[in-house]
Amino acid sequence: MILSRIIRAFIAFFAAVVIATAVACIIGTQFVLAALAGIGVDIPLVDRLATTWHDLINFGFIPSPAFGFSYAMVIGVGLFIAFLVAAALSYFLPRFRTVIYAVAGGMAILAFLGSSYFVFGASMFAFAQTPMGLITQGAAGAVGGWVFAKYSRQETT
Amino acid sequence: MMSRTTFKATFKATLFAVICALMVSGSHSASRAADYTLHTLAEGLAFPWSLAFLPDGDVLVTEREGRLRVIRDGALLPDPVTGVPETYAVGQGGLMDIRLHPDFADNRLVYLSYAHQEGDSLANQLRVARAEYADGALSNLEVIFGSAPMKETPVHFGARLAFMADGKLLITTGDDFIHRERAQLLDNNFGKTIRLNDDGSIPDDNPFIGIEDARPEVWSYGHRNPQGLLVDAESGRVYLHEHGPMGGDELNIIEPGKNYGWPVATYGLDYSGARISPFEERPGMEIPIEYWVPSIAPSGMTLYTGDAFPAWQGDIFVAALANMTVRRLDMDNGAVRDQETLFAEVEERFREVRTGPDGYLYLLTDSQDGRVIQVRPGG
Repeated sequence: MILSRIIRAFIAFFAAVVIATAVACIIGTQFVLAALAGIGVDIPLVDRLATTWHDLINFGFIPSPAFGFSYAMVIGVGLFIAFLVAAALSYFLPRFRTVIYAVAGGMAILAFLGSSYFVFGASMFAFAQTPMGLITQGAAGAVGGWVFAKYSRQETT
Repeated sequence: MMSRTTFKATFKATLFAVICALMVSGSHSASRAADYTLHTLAEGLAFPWSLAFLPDGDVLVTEREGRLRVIRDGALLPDPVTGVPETYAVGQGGLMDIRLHPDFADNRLVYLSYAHQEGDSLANQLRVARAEYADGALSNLEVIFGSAPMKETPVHFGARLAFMADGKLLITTGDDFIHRERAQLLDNNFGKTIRLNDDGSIPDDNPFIGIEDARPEVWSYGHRNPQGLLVDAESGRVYLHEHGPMGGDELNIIEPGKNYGWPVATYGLDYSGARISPFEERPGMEIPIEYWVPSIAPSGMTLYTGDAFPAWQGDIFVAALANMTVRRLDMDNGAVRDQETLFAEVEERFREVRTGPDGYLYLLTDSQDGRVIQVRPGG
């Protein structure tokens, strides 16, 4: 029983990280391309798709040579810490469990992106240099939180 | 069918031809190599950024932390030059380039580029000031350029200066790292080369004079963080190199009014590994004459025209921070024919390389305990 719950939580966490990373990357790329389009650059659909795929792999899941980590690794660490807090809060507020995990997921990404402002004086990521860019990244984290809440829930009979 | 003897003869002839070809291709670089010795001229400099050779033999060296130092008779004077403007020495900012006016012997004018902070805010800008230099002091300092609008980050200032043959002053500016698309717009000073008269006024033959929404001081655009600039007096070519992000450092020949691509066309990736743009090249945007992937972080350059190293005549030397070497570019009528990596034995980041009036190369190393290294001929 306990082992089953651990395995379920592990799979849910893995899915949450992968989905949050994918959503964050795909959205992030669209912000970068939109900024180029905003100065009059015509970007054909095939280039948009190729760039999105490139970023999904090379930013999302392969560690950057410059940073030494991938976005998935950052999101994974962030979600792990956030979900520990969310688990504690959910214990006392079980009716709001899904919302709590979603908010925790969003806060995890926003905390990371926000911290780069304090360290570097600016966001290291072009897609997070506008309020809307930040908000959508937070939304990707919230999706990850929702996924975890949904798939880690213990079925009751 | 080929006999055994014929096969052996053919094999030997082929081998001989390959060896000859290798020897010929190798002899090009070998014939250009030069013996040299390295001498530390000054040390204990805090992030030296640039230097200028005075007619009386003194050498002025900028320290990024905001001091201007004097090397006299091979020794660093203890007292810095007075009258230097206060600088915003944060991040990559501080006191940066120094250039002498072409008529310095008559007017004693030196030009400085530096970061300036607006009050206590994060807002800052690249400034260029000129002042008269005499006896270890600057006087009559006059700010002749301030980049606009204000920057938000303490990085990507550009800040290189060069005088053209007609006495016009060129200034490079960086893209401020954030909102990099502004380098493509002409209504700002982000990611541009600027061309001014020596008093800071705007020449009436600049390329964007009279164009709506374009700043008249802009000479070229689409740059990221250009920290190398030189004018070849003989050909009139203007060479500029700029830092790429992760890869994509570029060496360009700059012509008025042209677009050098950043961030629409680049060979580099973002530090995160993501693409900056789908395009490496783009119609209407200039292609670099050389680019480096991975980055070497080019941060200063000189065209060697001295007599001390005849084999290096006409070559461009590029100082590299990340690569911790100096690249010698064997030039052929504005094209890079070959390149050689030099001075790796120093094992330090190189901020700047300049040609002295004595024909020696001068290297600045980038550290809290930076050095001025003189490169002399001889084994």
